[in-house]
Amino acid sequence: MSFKEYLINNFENILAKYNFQNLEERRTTFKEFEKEGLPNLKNEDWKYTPINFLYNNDFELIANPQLDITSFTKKKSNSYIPENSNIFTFCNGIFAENESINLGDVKLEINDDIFNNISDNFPDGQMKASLNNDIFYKINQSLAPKSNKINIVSNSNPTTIILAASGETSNSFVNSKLHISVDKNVETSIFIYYLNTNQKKVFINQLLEFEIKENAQVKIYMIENDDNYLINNISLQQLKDSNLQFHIFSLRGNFIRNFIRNSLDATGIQSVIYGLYLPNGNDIIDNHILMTHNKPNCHSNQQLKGIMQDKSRGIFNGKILVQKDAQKTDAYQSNKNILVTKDASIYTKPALEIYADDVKCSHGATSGFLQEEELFYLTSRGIGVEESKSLLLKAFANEIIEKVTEENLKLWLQKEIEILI
Amino acid sequence: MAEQENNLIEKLTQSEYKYGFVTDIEQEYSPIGLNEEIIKFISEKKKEPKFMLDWRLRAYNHWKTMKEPNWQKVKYPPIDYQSIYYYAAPKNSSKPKNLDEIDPEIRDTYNKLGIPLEEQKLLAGIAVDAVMDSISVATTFKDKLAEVGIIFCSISEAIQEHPDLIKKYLGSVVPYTDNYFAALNAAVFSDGSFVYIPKGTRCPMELSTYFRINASQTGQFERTLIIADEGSYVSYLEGCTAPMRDENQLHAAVVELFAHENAEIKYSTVQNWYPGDKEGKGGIYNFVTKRGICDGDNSKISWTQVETGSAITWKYPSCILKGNNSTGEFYSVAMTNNYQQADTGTKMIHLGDNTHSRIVSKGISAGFSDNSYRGLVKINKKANNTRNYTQCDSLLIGDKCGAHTFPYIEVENNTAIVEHEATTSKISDEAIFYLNQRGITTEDAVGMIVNGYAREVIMQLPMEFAVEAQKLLQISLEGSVG
Repeated sequence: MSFKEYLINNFENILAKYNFQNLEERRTTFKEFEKEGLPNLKNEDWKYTPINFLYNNDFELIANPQLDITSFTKKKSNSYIPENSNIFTFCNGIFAENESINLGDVKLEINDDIFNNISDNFPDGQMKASLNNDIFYKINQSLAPKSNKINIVSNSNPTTIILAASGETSNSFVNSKLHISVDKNVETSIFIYYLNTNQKKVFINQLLEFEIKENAQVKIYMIENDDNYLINNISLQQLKDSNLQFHIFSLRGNFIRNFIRNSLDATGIQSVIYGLYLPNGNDIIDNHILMTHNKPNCHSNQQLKGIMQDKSRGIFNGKILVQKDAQKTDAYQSNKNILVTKDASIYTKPALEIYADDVKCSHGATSGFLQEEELFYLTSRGIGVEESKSLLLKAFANEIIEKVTEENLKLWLQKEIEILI
Repeated sequence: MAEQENNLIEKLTQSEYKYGFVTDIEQEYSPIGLNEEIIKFISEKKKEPKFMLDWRLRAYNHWKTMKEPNWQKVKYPPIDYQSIYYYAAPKNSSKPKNLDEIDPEIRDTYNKLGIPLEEQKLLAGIAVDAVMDSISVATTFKDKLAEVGIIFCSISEAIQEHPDLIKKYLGSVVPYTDNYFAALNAAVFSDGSFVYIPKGTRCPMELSTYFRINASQTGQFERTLIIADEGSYVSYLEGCTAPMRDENQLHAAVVELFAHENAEIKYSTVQNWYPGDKEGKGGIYNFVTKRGICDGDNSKISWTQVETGSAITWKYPSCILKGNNSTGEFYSVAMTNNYQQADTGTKMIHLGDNTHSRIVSKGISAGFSDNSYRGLVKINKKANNTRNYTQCDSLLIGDKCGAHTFPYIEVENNTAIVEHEATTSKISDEAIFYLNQRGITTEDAVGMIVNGYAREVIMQLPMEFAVEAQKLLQISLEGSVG
């Protein structure tokens, strides 16, 4: 049975079994999925990203928490969690209170208001369409159990968010929706982990929303470090004079797709995305970014680097969209890749779409391999070939890791990279 | 200052299209519309052998199953393919024996366009094939070229006289199944140029074709095929103009280049179809499929284009780098003004080892226009030690235009080095100020800066064309100071 058939056959059962609300809206959205089916390579957004793992479905949708505490604790301790951190754990899309710590600067709100999305406020049509046409977004909208909202209200301790997925006996398919808003003038950092506490495979279909309000200073560290199948739709909205640093590390995972849509909806915004992806084995890691400048005087920068090992495949698709009003925009984008092995591949599409004239926009993309000269330099100084290679790769990755200002996280990342390269 | 700028923009965007006249000659048309009968009519008119008709009909039947593409970043109202004349030809044009026999009106037309049809202009040293509407009206220097074994003639002539070459090469680079407009072209193309350069020959002069759309309500579908046999070299130029009309006319050409071992083909285009008036009314839809294959080792194909005309330009001159050590180049200046739209770029498909490609694209948009670069660099799994360098810059003049870049980079081999960089900006105030200070008016300064900006590409053109291209840019651009 294909994944689509599985969902269609079981849709009504699932709604009843987990006592979902907003049934009519869910059904309408699901109909659209039924009509369109899963995306294939003819879909421009999925041109290089085959979702073979869904052709023969062996996932079962699970929407109640079944946290395996032993496995969870172990994985949690392997992750980097800063001291004095608020911890919010969600298991299969549902808040797990026992595994969470609220130090008091975060408000949590859980309701059934699934269909109230931040993307409704996006002023730009292309942004909206890009999300609304995303099939996995539709699936998420029809099958996410609850709308979880986290509101960071004061200059707080860091917040760690653990999005866990589990199931007891079967491979689990999890839909989860989380909205994070950071209030005016708040300076904070947010750590996000995806953990698989199942003994088997999990497929997480995540919808993440960030609302960065006026003059908020936010650092987000998203660490994808577990063997998951992960589809991650991230909507961001930034308001006046806000400053965002978004770090995204795709270290492990069989299939990862991140689609970041960032809407810069006021003046004076700074927005930076740093990304590092290290697929190996048969992994596929796909990073899509749509950065939309709607208002003047904003600055955005995207820097992504990838090291493709074994038979893995990397995909980068980044677009800077500058609207007519957005004069005095500075927008940059760079994507650099190294293919380590013969069977690795990279598909990159850095695009610019610009409708304002007083702008400075540029992008660059490179793909290369380890240079003979550099290797020779190191080997001639008595360093082994393998070691030289790994030294060079680490140096390549380090450029992105260096951007992390949290010293301990930097050390933790460097240790992880040590294992991976 | 702002007002002054507006005036300048006004002035610039009003500069006239020089080639907008209509030649009053008797024309012969096919019945309007498209069906099998029309294709048979065209094929019969051209006295084509049976295999050509079969090929056309196959293409037509395939075309009927295809859908018009819609992924491009240009917008146009749906084209009614049944309201176009697919064949229009100046009457009495039963192949003139020599240039004196050409209808004086036609000769005048080409003279007005500044094209040296007549042999007295021998000093210009360019062999010309002139194509008006659907058919080739004159080819110069044929005999001289024949002495060294070069075949340069209209494609209909080649179909009759060199059917073996046609059978072997026509559709080998751009098969009729390739895309919607290539299929349409294969079904109805009426003329074009054919060039064959024999082994080890260096073509002694520049070859060139001038395309002219004259009749109204027609579509022009020409087909160019250039074959460079082992170790040969040819440089080929193409120029295009059309009258000013309120209707939109379709130009769907196919160009195929085939380079054997050690051969080199240099293909230059100065495209100046009528771009429509300043409200965006009329103009040519330029939907062209151009592709070259570097089939043999060490071969080279180089595309150079200066695109200033057409209401819509939509084309991707491409190179398939199949032979080892082969090289592909693409140099482009695309300038859009008023309501013009351009979606152009290239594809470099690396299949052989040690293949190199270089892309330099310069976009300039002014007025209300949209200018996109769309390119593909694909490194095949088996292609080792390949190298690509891409640079595409966009210049925005005025705040109502758009400039876009959509590069696709697919790398499947880890020995490849692929680099891409792109920038978008306006002409810096500092640069203008610097020139102003030295007594150069803002308008001239912009012209200077744009010419400097496009120089890298224009330098690739043969001399005569480079001068023309520079002038064209100046005319299309005059005064659009941002």
